[in-house]
Amino acid sequence: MASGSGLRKARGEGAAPAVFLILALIAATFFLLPLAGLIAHAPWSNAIRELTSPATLDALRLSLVVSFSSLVLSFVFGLPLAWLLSRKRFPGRRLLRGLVLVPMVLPPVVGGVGLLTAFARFGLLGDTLARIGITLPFTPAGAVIAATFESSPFLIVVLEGGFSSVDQRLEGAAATLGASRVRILRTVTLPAMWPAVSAGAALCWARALGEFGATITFNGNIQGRTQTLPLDVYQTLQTNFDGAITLSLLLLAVALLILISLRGNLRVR
Amino acid sequence: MSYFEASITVRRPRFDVAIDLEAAEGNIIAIIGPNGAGKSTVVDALCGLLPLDSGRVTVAGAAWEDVGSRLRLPPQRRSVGVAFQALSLFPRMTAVENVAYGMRALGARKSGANRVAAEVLERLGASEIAFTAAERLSGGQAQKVALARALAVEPHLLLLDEPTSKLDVMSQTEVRRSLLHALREFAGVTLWITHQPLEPLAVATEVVVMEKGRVTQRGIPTDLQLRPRSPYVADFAGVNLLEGRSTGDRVVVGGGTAVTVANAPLGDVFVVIHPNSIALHRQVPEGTPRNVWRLNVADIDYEGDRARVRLTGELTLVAEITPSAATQLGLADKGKVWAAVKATQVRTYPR
Repeated sequence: MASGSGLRKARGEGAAPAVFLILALIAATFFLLPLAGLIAHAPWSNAIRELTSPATLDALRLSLVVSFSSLVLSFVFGLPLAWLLSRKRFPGRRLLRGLVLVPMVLPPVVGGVGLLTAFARFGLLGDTLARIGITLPFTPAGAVIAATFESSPFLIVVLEGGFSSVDQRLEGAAATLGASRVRILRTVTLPAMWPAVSAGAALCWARALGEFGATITFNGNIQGRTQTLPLDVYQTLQTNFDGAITLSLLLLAVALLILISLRGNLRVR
Repeated sequence: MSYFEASITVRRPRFDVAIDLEAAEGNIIAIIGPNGAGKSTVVDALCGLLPLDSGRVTVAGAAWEDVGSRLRLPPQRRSVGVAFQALSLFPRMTAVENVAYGMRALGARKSGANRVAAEVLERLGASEIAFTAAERLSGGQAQKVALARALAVEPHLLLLDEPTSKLDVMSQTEVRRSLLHALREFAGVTLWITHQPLEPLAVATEVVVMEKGRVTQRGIPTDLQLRPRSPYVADFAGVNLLEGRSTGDRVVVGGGTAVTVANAPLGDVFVVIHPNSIALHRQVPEGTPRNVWRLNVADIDYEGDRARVRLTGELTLVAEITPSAATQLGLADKGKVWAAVKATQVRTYPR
């Protein structure tokens, strides 16, 4: 027995090979170093003043509003789309799935330019929107649109996988018991795919919080209107390195706080 | 018009499933057949999860589906209770929540639905697991919860798909006893599907045999046991079934072998020989007019107080003798035996 297990270890099924350990350690350090740098360079003395400045508070408020609005919009429109992609066979389904993935592979700046060509006054829908009194570019609503464009694919992709993983016989059983489609979705399908819902929501929200390229391209960088925290960090960095570090730490803290509470809450039945 | 009438055809990749069913209130139809005969397809079609390709279904005066007039009620609008073969209990819910689910979906308040659900579980002898999470139930318990969930909505049509097949022998007996008890108070029509044919025989008003999507035989349970019309039915009835051409006192079966019979109908007939009417001898037997064939002993199964001897040769037969007789005959050494059957113990009926 002893020689058998020894043989297995020697073949690498038990212990990890040394080279793997070293490479993994390098990867971990790579992720850790920037965080350590931020904390090491934090100008703690000026932190309070920086954090309570009107620009920072505006950016923080806007970032929270924008990221959560994006999450809600992504659910409202993304959930049905994910369901469709997962459950229905229709011509163009693969094309549609590819389309959903486009924002994930497109550089965000290009996404921002695309949003301009669609929703700006000169854009495809600009005239129509202007006629009913809606202006998107350079507005808080525009910031939500940019963040949603960039973040919702993360939710949709994960939800689609979640829908596919649910045992459809459970839904059939619920239907024979008289449950409506909405009730089945609420009481059977979503609970069964809860890990996907929670992971997708966390990914989507984090991506929306960090959104920079599409937002600044589509909306500019206007304090109190379109300047979210990442944009504030970028602007502060031009003149005040210490301030940028403080703001970065604020963003980091917000992200960690919300992700932990979001996943914690969503894990609860 | 009967309380329950269904005439359905569903196309399937390998064969079509077609069956006609009819029953009065309170009746139990047993559908038996080998695995893969299309039995579960019938369940899915009747409860509305699988559309019919042709035919209609009427229950308690309401048309559920009629392909001709393009009527098709969704499962939600059919008064149906299904105990699925896969059970499909809702995870993350307790037993009682599972059973209450249908009543809640139909608008009942939580407290009332839970109370009724607990009563149904009790009727099935499963009250002690009411608050156990579905994923932590044992096989027999989960099966009872699935049955309770189907019964709790008081459906017009109750569909039971192999309600005991995946259980060990002990829980099978227990679940079957609980189910039979619950069915006594059930007012609607029950369709009991199983590949363990003896199971519903005691309570079924009609037994329908399904093989490869077709009904191969149907009738009252005793009729099926006495007059099987397919090898499958003969096998579960535990008798030898032969097919042949009769001239009144002789039936020539496959391979040209003649079977002497008494007062057989003329023409194509089935021949049934009960295993315990076959006597085995090592020497040529003497005496009354009888059939005597020299056959090979292929193998022996010991089942309690009986030995089932499979014989091959010009006929393939199963003989049932006592284990001590098997020992005296030295059957363990295989070899050839004489199989003797009195003509009066051979049963025949038209094909």
